[in-house]
Amino acid sequence: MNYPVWLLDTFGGGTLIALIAVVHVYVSHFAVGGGLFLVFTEMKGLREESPAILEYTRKHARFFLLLTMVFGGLTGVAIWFTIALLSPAGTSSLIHTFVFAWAAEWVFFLGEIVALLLYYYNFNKISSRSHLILGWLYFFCAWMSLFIINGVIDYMLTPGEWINNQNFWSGFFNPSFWPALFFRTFLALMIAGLFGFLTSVNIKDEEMRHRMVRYCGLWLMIPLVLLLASALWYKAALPLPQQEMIFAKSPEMKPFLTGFIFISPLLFVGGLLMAAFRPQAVTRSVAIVLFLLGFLYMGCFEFMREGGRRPYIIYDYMYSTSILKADLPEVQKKGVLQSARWVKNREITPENRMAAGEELNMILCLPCHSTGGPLNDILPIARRFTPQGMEAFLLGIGNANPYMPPFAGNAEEAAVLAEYLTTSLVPGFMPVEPEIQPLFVPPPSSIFC
Amino acid sequence: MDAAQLIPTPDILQVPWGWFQVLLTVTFFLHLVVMNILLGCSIITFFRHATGKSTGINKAISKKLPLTVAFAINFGVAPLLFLQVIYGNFMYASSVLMAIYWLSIFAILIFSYYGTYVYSMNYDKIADYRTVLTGFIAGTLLAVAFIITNNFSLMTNIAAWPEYFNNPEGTMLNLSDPSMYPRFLHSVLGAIAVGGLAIALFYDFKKRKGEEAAEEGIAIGMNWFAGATMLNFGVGSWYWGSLPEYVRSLGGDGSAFFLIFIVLGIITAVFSLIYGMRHEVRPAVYLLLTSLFCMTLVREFVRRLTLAPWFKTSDLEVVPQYSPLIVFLITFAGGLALIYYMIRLVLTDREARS
Repeated sequence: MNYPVWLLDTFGGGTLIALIAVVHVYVSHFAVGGGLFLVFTEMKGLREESPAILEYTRKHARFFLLLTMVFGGLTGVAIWFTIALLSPAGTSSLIHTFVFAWAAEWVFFLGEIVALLLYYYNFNKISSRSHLILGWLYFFCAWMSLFIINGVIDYMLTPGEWINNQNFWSGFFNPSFWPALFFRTFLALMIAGLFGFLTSVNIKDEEMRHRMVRYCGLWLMIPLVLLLASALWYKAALPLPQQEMIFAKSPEMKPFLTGFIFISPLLFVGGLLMAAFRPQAVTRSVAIVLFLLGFLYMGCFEFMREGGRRPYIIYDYMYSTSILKADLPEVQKKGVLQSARWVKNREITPENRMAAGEELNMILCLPCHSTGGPLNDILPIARRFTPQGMEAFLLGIGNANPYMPPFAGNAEEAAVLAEYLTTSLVPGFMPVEPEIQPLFVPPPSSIFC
Repeated sequence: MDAAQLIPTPDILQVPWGWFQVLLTVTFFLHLVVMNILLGCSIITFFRHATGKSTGINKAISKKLPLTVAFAINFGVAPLLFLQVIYGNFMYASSVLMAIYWLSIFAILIFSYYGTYVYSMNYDKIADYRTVLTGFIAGTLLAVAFIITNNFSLMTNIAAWPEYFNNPEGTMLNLSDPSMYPRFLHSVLGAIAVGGLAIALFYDFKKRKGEEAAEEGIAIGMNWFAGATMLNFGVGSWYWGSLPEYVRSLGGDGSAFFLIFIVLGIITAVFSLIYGMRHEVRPAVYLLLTSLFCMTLVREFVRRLTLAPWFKTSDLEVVPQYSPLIVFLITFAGGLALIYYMIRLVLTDREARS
């Protein structure tokens, strides 16, 4: 309402953010768990007095540096850019509410960079004790980044008392903060194991390779068990409406929920397979499959978490259309075209109905729907309706479909949007009045001729 | 259409805007210095390779470039955050108008960043490709600079915003703004000057350690610094002339400070140039840093004055919550102490081992 809408078409409906976010989240969790993995692996090498393990740690650290600091760091910036483009109002709200949390996170990000660079560039150049201290400090900074971001992300899902008091600390330490923190920590450790497989399967010495692959298997399987326990805690901490949205009311959540449930044992079995088999060809293939499964696992979780706050972007505060819950009655009364800033057609006339409908579509539908894209495509939905049917659907939205926000416009805008969606947006579908041929009735005189 | 009606309503602040302005100015200054070193050194190494001067200086720069990218990005995050707090309603809008370009920054930077690692880790192996690679790094960084300049000028060019209704796909640029090109060129020349001075300072350290060949590095760095700075006096004047009349008239709040910082910035740049031409590195560095800080403040004043007809930061609503600020300041101090500790740990350990 307050900001322009970026017309994305195919990449709308969450496709763009999903592409960037899931990749980043996978790598950024590795940046946390992988830090501890490096420290523990180096300690293992020192304890066992194994130059081979220490050399593996050094090589893994290079891989870790190049992946997490470059790709991870920049995709993190990309998420920030993307959410600001897709939901400027939501991002502005998050920034203004948690500016000092973000600022503190920046400090830890800086600490991570310094610690990791010093750690990597000082292998074999300083004492083991000092080197390990650097590794621990890296992990501390990385985990503190997770701690802070976790507070902000889960505030969006469960803002708790913040809704009533707008207090920073109420929002940050929200009802799902602690279970989510444990969940993400275990996820990060598990992902460290998955990435560890990718590097350890390439160790040339067979015995060493097998030892390190088994070691990585422990990093996968132990956190996985703890993760599942914390997932139950996480679920229990969710207020009932958010639970229902994920587990019952939103049909789009089902594949992600199913995926999460089925991939969990697959990852565990994969860890066992890696520990059991020695041939490099097998372990390399399984490592890649597990890595991809881990990516899907992460994606399923993130989709569910995002889906849980529907129809809001900040639960119970701001709808996914960027309209504040508190402002909705006023907007419905005035109309969207009168309330929004970035609108050209403020008044609906017979000449501009389609242009006004297009603007309503951009403001009310495109924040969640794509146009012809892989996620939340609006075209097949629009095809199912006549203008009258769509109008009725729009006016009842939010009740029959609780995962969608209530229609924010007035009755005239509902009619115009329905007409636009069903006659202009959908190509080739143009409900028209049936052509009626007048029945020829011969004049009475001819009957009797 | 009245473009002013498009300006979004700002959100509420937790502490008065002055806090954010100070944090924005300080962190932007840090970003400016590191980013200028990165861009300037990339351009200089490209020209040196392209003209057949692939000496040890280029190799020395190659080793430092990846670190410079890391810190340039990190130091860019903080000012972008504080900018969004005070001017978010302008910046988010302009970012959407040029969304495709704005989002492409991260993809371009990933290539630049990996490019610096390829250059750094394989310097000796890629003798035939150094020109192409450094050209790629410099070119991508220039593209990023061009996009950022576009956005930060578009956010104050409200008159251009209604173009959105003809182009909602996010492919607008601010090319019609007469200040865009001189602003970009002014930034790039400034970066080359800072890059040159950074090279000179690097070799000044070596000279103090008794390296004979360091004098050549100082001379090369200072030549780039002096050339770019002299050109920048001309481009800076062009930039000034392209600003709206009501900005140049120095009316409005704080105009006396605005004038003082412009004059101080120019005077320190002139003296920095004089010292630079005499190869007196350290005084030139101190003076240029002072000039850069003054110009950072001037930049803030220009933004404030450009937006003055529609927006005043002092009008932003505040609902005070000071505890998060206090926690941040403690974290910031703790973070600096931690970084100091880590660097000291490495240095003392290395010293003990040697």
